Amino acid sequence: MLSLLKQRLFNSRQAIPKWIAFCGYAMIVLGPFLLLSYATAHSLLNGDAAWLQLLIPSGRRLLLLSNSIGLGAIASILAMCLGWIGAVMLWSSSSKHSHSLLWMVLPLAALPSYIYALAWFAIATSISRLLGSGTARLLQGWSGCLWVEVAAFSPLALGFAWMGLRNIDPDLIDSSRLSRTDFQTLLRIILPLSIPATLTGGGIIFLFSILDYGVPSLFQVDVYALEIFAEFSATNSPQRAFLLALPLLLFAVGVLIALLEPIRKLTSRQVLHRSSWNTPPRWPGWVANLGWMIGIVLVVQAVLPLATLVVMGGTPRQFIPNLIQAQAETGYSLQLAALTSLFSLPMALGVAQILVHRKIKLLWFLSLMPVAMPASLVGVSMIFLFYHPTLQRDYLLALMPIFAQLARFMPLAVLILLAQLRRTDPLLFDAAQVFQPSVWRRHFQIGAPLLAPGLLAAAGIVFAFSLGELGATLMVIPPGKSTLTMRIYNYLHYGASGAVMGMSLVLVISIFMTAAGIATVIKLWSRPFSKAKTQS
Amino acid sequence: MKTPIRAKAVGLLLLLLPIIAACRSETGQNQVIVYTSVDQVFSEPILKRFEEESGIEVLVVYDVEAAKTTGLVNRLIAEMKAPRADVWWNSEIIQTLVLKEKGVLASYASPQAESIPAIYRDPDGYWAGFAGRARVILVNTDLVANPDRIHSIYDLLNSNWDGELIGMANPLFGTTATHAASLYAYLGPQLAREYYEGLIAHGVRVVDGNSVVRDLVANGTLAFGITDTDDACGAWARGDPVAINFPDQDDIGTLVIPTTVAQINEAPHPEQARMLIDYLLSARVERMLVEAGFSHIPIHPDVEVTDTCISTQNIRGMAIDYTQIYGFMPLMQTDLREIFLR
Repeated sequence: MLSLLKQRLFNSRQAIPKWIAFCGYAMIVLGPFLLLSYATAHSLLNGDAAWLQLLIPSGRRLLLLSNSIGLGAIASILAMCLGWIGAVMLWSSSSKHSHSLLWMVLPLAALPSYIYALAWFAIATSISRLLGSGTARLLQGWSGCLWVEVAAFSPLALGFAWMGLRNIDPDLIDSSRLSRTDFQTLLRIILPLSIPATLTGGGIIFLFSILDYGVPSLFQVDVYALEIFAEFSATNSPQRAFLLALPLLLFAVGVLIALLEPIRKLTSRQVLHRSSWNTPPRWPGWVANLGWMIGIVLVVQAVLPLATLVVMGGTPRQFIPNLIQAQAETGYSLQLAALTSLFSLPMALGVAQILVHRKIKLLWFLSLMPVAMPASLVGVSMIFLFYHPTLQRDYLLALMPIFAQLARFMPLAVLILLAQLRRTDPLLFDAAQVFQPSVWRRHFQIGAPLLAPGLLAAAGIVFAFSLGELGATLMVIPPGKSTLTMRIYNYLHYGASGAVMGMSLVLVISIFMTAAGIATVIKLWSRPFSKAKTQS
Repeated sequence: MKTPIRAKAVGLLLLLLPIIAACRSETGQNQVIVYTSVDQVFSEPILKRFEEESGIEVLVVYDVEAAKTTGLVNRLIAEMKAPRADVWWNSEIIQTLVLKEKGVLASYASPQAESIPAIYRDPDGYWAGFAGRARVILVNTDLVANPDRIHSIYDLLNSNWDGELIGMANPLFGTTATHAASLYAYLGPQLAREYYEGLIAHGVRVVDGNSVVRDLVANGTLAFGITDTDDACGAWARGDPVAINFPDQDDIGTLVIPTTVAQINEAPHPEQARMLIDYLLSARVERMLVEAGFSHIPIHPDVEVTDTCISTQNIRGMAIDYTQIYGFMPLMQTDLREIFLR
C-alpha cells in the first residue's frame, strides 16, 4: 500500500513540470482568445446586443464566407495533390538527390505568401512585356490568386505528404508488391495509409488560406478575412471584429475537430528507418509523365520566385547596401525568432507529453485552436492581456513579440513533438527512470538526445514562421524595434521593389541557413543511431 | 561522466545571453516614443536628425500599409489605460480624428502651429497638420495620347475607356477611404453612392493600395488611375511614362490630405513629446518632406515646392472641413462595403 502511494506520489511529481508547461502554453496561446471572448461577452451584456447580428453571415457576408471557403478548399486540394504526387516521386526515387531536393523546397513553406505574389507579379510583368499585355491577365482574379496560394502552400503540402509516406510500414508495401503492380500498390495501400497526413496538411493549409486577406486582395478576390479587417478598420473595435470573425472561426474549428483524428493517427505511427523501395517502382507511362510534370511545376513554383528575388534584389550593388541598412532589423528578427523557438520547446514538449497518451478531444482541440485565430486579433488581445497597469514592466513588454509569435506558432511545435514522442521507444524512457535517479540528468542526458530530431525540427519550424510573422508582431513590437518583415512591408508601399526583393532575399537566406543547420545537426545526431542499428 | 559545473554555467549563460539582450530595457528619461504611419523612408531621416540635434533618444514604431490601418491606431486605443507612446505622427488625418474622439490624444497648442491655417489644425489643439498630399490622376502617356484630357474623377466612369484599364485602391482603407468620405460630404450620400456604384458597373479595377495603382499605371497594365501625389511623383521620378493631373480643378477641386501630429494623453515623456511636435511642425521639417518627395502641398506659407513633377501653385482643393469628412466615414464604410466587398 505504502509503495503504491509512493509510486503515485512519484508519478504525480513527474507530471508537475508537464502541467506547468501546459499552463504556460494555455496562458500564452489560449489567453488572448479567452480574453477577447470575455470582452465581447461583456460588451454584449452591456447593451451592445445589436452586435449579435454580426454573428449571422447573410446576404453579402454569406457570399464572402463562401468565397473564402471555396478559395481555401480549392487551394488546399490543389496544393495537397501537387505535394502528394511530388512526395511520392521523391520518396520512391532511387536518386540520392531526392532528399536534397526535398530539403531545398521545404524551407520555402515559411516564406510569407505575399513575397510569392510579388515575385509572380514581377514575372507576369516581364512575360507581358515580351508576349503582350494579355498574358498578364492570366495572373489576375481567382486564377492568379489560386496559382500564388498553391505555389506558397505546396512546400508545406510536400512536407506533410512526405511525413505521411515515411510513416508507411515497408513490409506492407513489399507484401503488396508481390501480388500487385506498383500502381495498384500506390492506389490500394499507399494512398489510403497516407490519408491522415494528407488530411492534416490539407486542413492546415485550408486554415492558413481562409485567414489570409493579403494575397486575395492583391488579386481582387473578395474574401471574408478582408471583411473582418474592414470592420476592424471602420470601428476600431476588436470585439466587433471578433464577433464578425466568429463564423469563420467556427468553420475553422469544425475543420480542426474533423482533423483531430487524422492528426492523432499521423502522430501515432512509428517511422521505420528502412527504405520502402529497395527495388525501384515501375509506374505506368502516364503516371511517370504526370509525376515528372508535377515535379517540374513544383520546381518552377519554387525556383522562379527565388530567381526573381535574386535577379531583382541580389546583385551586389543592391544586396549589400540593403543588407547593411537592414542589419538592425535582421538582427532583431533573428533574435526574436531564436527566442521564440527556444521558449516554445519546453512548453510544446510538456503539452505533447500530456497529449501523447490522451484521446480527450477537448484537450487536443484547445491545444491546436490558436491555428485558427487571425493574427491581428492575437496582437490586440495580447495588449489587453499584458498591458494592465500592474503588468507594466519593461522586460515583460520587451517579451511581448515573443509571446505573440508563440501564440501563433507553438501549436505547430506541439504537432511535431507529438510525432517525435510517438516514434520514440517508451521503454527507453522507462529504463532511464530506473537507472538514472537524477531528474535533470535523465532529461538532459537521455530524454533530450532521444527527442533531439523532433526538438530541432520543432524549433526550426517555429523559427522560420516567426521570421515572417507580421500581423501580431506589429501590434506589440517595442518602440525602437522593427523586424525585417515589417521593413519589407514598409518599403513595399514606397515602391522600392529592388530593396523589397533584396530584403526578401535576406529573409529567404536566413530561413535556408536555419534549415541547413537543422538538417546537418539532425543528420550528425542520427548517425550513431543508424550505425548502432546497422550493427545490430 | 559528470559534466563540470563550469561547463554547465557557461552553457546556461550562453543560453541566457540572447534573452538578457532581448529583455534589455529601452526606457529612459531623455527619450521620446513615437508611433508613425508615415513611410519609414521619409520619417526615419527626420527623426534621426531630431535625435542628433536635441540629444533626445527617439524610439519609433512604424506602421505598414498591409495592416489596412488596423495597426497602430488600434494599438494606441488598446494601450489607452497605460500609454506607451508620446507622439502620434500620422500620414493622413482621419485616424487622428478617430483617436481624438476615443480620448487617446492630449491637447497641446504648439507655437509652431500658429502660422498654420486654421483648417489644418484642431481648434482645441489636439492635432495640427502639415506637409499635405493630394489626390491625383496618374495617366500612362504611352497608352493615352492626350493625357491632359483625363482631368476629372468622372473620367473613371467614361465608357470610352475599358474599365479594366482604369484603377483605384480599395476605398475602404487609407487615403482612398478619406477621399470617398469627402465625396460623401461634398456631393451628398446619394450622388456619392451612385458614383461608386458606377465605378463597379464600369468594371474599374480595385487594387490593393495606391502604390499598386502607381505601379500598374507605370507598367502599362492600366491606362490611368487615381492615387496620391507622393506615389504619382515617385513614378515620375523613376522615369516612368506618366503624366499627373489634379482632378476637377474647375469644379469640386481635389482633396488635400495633411500629415498630422498629436501628443498622446498621459504620455510617459510629455516634455520631450512637445519638443518633437514643435520640431515636426517647423517649416524646416516640412521643407525636408517636400524635398524628399513625400509632400507636394506644403502648409507653411514660406515653404516652396522644389519638385518639378507637378505644379501645385494655384491648386484648387475641396472646400470642405475635415471633421465633416470624418462625420461621413461610418455611412461611407457601410455603403462601400456593400458595393465593393461582395
